[in-house]
Amino acid sequence: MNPANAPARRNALAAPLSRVLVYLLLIVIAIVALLPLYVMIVTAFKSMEEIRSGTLLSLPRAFGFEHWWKAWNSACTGLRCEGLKVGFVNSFLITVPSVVLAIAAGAVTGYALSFWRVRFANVLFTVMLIGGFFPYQVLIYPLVRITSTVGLFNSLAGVIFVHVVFALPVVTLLFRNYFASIPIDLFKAARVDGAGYWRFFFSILLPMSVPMIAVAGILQVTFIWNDYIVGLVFGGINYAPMTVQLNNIVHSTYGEREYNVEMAATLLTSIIPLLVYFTSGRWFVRGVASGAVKG
Amino acid sequence: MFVRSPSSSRLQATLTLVPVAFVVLSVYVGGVLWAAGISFTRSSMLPNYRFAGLTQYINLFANARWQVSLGNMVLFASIFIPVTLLIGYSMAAMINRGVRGENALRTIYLYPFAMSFIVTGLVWRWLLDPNFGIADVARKLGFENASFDWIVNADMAIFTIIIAAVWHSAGLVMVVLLAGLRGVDDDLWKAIRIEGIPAWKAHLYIIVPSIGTSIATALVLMSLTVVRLFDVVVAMTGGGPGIATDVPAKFIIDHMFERQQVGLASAAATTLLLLVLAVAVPLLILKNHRKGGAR
Amino acid sequence: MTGVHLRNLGIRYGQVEVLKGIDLDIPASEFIVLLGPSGCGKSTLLNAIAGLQDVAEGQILIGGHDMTNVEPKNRGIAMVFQSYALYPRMSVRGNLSFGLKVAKIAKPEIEKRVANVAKMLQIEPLLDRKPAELSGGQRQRVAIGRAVVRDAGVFLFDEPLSNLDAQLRSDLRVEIKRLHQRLKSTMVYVTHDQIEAMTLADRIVVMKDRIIQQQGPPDEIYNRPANTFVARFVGSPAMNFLDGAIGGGHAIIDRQAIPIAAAISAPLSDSRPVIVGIRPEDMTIHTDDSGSGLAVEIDVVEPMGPEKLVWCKQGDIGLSVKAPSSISVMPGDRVRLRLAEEKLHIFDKETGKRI
Ligand SMILES: Nc1ncnc2c1ncn2[C@@H]1O[C@H](COP(=O)(O)OP(=O)(O)O)[C@@H](O)[C@H]1O
Ligand SMILES: [Mg+2]
Repeated sequence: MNPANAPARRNALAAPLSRVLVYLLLIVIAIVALLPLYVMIVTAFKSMEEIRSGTLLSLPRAFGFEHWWKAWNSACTGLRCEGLKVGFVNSFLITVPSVVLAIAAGAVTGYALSFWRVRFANVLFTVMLIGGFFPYQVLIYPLVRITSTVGLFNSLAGVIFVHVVFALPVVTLLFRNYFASIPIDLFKAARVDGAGYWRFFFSILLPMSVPMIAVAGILQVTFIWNDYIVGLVFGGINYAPMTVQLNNIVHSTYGEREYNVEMAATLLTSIIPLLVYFTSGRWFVRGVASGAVKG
Repeated sequence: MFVRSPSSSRLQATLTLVPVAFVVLSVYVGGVLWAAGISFTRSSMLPNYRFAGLTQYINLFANARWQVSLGNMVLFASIFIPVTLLIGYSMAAMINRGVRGENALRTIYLYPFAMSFIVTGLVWRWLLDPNFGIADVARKLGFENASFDWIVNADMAIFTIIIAAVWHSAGLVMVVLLAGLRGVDDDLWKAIRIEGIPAWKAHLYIIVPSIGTSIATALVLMSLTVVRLFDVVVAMTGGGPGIATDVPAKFIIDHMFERQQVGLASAAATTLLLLVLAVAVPLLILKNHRKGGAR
Repeated sequence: MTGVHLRNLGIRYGQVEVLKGIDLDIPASEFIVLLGPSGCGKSTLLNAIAGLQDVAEGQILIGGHDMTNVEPKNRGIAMVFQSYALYPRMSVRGNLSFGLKVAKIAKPEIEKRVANVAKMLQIEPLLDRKPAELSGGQRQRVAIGRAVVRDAGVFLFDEPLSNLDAQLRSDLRVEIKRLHQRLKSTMVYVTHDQIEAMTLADRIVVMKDRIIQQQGPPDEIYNRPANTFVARFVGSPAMNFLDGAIGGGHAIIDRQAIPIAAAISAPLSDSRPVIVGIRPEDMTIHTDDSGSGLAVEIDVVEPMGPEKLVWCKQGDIGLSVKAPSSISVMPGDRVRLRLAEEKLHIFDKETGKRI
């Protein structure tokens, strides 16, 4: 940004001072934002003895990896003591198909709603728009009944189905808004060239939508990986995702709490979203900025 | 309006939408209506259809735990939303002045949003631990009598949840508002500067009104966080001490699955939904009104 | 060859009637320009010919066949858009060949046609670029190429030059005219720019308020505008209008009797109110005081190179005059304007129609 963008400053003398102040504030906020991550990391490496004797903020004297291994491999998540690795696999099995299906369904739905006159399309779109605002708790019980009626309750397919249902309004809205911004002349040109329904979608629209697909994909990976309630209710014991197992590890320990194992487990659970975030932050910001998160 | 299209393509579009419409209507309309219906029955462990009039609602509002939950949600909203908005806006305004390292700062500010609420809750539970947390740091720094026990104090615990939630959302709000600020015409900033309008006045009277859409988006996002508030409470306090930090979502899930009072839970869910619609629909209308119709 | 004929065409958007009772005959190989201000329904009409617009009533014939309900791809038309509408993720080659691929034309044939068109429009070096890597003028060349490669009998242009700057606009204008001379296809060209219309058209159709105001060759539109709207819309600066009344076979303007016999076919009854129109180049400025001509005061003088544009005031009426650049007048000067009698346009004051 150029300085012309800066709002008015009252006088020239105040400018350097206010500038220092701005940097100071921004740095303090950054420190506060980073503090939990820092504490998580240092705690995960400390021994329990060190946690008791040192302080929250001190660096670990020696790097212990055994709590990491315990969190991954043998921490108790309720009755079983197999660590987070089961949850990691489950989260993977849940997230990948859910995201792919949600994006495919959202893109095709957004397309059908944007370029073609379909009866009652507006009704459907309005329902989705408002449905996107429903608190999950309201839909959970009906979804439990629906999934158990068709035999999907407590199954992987059931969890995926619920995730797709919850993601559909947002993803559809994202694509519809994007398609609405495409000049209608492009559609006309393709029609003159003879492109039909699927031809226009696959040959012209989809290649243009790669950025939108990336945005939706990254956001949905993050949301679905981080989900707790859907996995808790619909995954049962066999398909509990990582977040559910993490919470169990922390809340079901008897006897002395092992803070280092807890923090190692917390970090392990955050690794995938953090990796996605730090490698593709640009798309992430873009998605958030365009209001793709909701509404 | 739509480009003229042959009936075959329109049929294609309709066929694409049928499965989506089926799922969306059965879950978002059928499911919700069914849940609302259940709230007027005597359903306990399993749904049944013996009409009970408003009994469940009468019981609900006489229920101390529900009163606390609802009160907590209101308190949470009335602090979380303005504080996050203020912090987020200040951050956006400062960054918008053009600072060095903007990308790095933005990345740092937004990363909490990529973390799950479970992780957020667990980390802050650790940070605010009365024995080993920040209080301990203060003590070891020489403030012998420092103590910070909000998280186990029934009167104050809800505020620790607000702190965690603000940490999680401030960056998100900042990014949304920054996108809005970046959309403000450069010439407007120049005019403000030439007229010598003080910065705070310029923001309050000129800039804020001209980024109404972004602010509406931020409000929608924060409202969704409020009504879905669940994971972070579960992870941080488990609703305790006692029921001090209980929230409607937790009330509903607990009564549905653990206490097996489906009717009461449905009444709570329906109440919550009505509350959400009362807030969300006007916001939605405002937002789409501002944006203007798509095509 | 393919002519286009519209019979009693009516188009509605919902309840709003956008076009009604349009009859238009476009003979094969004609270059016809639909000219009118923004919002008058030109694009709607063009889209209807293309098959991109629902038609409420009437008939569209292309090449003698009823095409009213035929798909765009089967109408034997090609179209060029103001926004270029190039497929953004395809190379120039991909853009040119897409329609042919959809039509399942054999690969060698596609390559041959693309190569020919690229040569004709001098876009060969651009074939492997993406639209984003092209300038505005290049994009529109490619868009024209995409139309030409379809080998269609009818070309439809919707304001193809409106997004370009002045220099490119005149270059491409010549290019389009050359294309027409070479291909001899029927061309329907929509614009709101009267210079484009005058330079390109075999015939101009002037539209306003969703109806056709006048159609004819450019010189007829210019020299014999059918009403005051056409008279004002075509020509730059616009025609000057003066209120007057008939008196003894003359038009009386500001107590001056102007002979109008040369401008009308039949004599008019006395005291009938009329509007007298005169183009800026059909008046001369006189500084001598011979007493004949309209007395005016010089307001502003704009040197234009080969000539000067002189703005005069008569009371609160403004008049523009094209004068040779040698004339020396200053704002505030009082001069007399002499009107070329045979170049007057007389319109009925009530209806605005040419008399
Ligand atoms: N999709 C539409 N819905 C309703 N009215 C429209 C639509 N498109 C165009 N119109 C109206 O039809 C008229 C003609 O539009 P158009 O053909 O685009 O005009 P032009 O191309 O001459 O500028 C305009 O008054 C416009 O407001
Ligand atoms: Mg137009």
